Amino acid sequence: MASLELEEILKPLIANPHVLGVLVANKEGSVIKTTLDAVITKLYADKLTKYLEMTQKMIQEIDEPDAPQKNELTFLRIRSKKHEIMISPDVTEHKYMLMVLQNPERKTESGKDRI
Amino acid sequence: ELDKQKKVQLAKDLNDKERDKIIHSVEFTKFIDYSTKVALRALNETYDIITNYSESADLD
Repeated sequence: MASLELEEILKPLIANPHVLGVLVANKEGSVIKTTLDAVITKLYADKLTKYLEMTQKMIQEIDEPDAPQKNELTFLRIRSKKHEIMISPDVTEHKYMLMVLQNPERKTESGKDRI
Repeated sequence: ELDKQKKVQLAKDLNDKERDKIIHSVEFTKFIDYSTKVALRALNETYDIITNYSESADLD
């Protein structure tokens, strides 16, 4: 895969009107691809890789010790007033993470999504 | 020793060669294909768990 291809794969995420930014990093927090500015990228990459690692460990630690199949974190969503942070971790190699930052306010035109 | 600790804490900036190597790897390609699909699906979920309880929401 070339850089351009990576761009193509991420395009539907980046083009979504609710999405404020997309960040791909390795588990050490080194940035592979970002659409956010340099300062915010660094901050998010640093904080989120640590947070992700903690959560992955927590999920494994609260798992039954002799469960036939080990449990594992598959997706992480954090909702705050200003943002929603979605983290899609690398479930096979545990080397990378994809972070999508989105605006949590979804105005529905008709309100029919409300229950 | 303090410098050593600092180095551990700060993530290294990848150069173009290192980044290209990652992007070209099979494991990264698999990861990005899968994780993008999952994130897209999460993004397209229209149900908002918070909306009903926000101040402006009319509760009926």
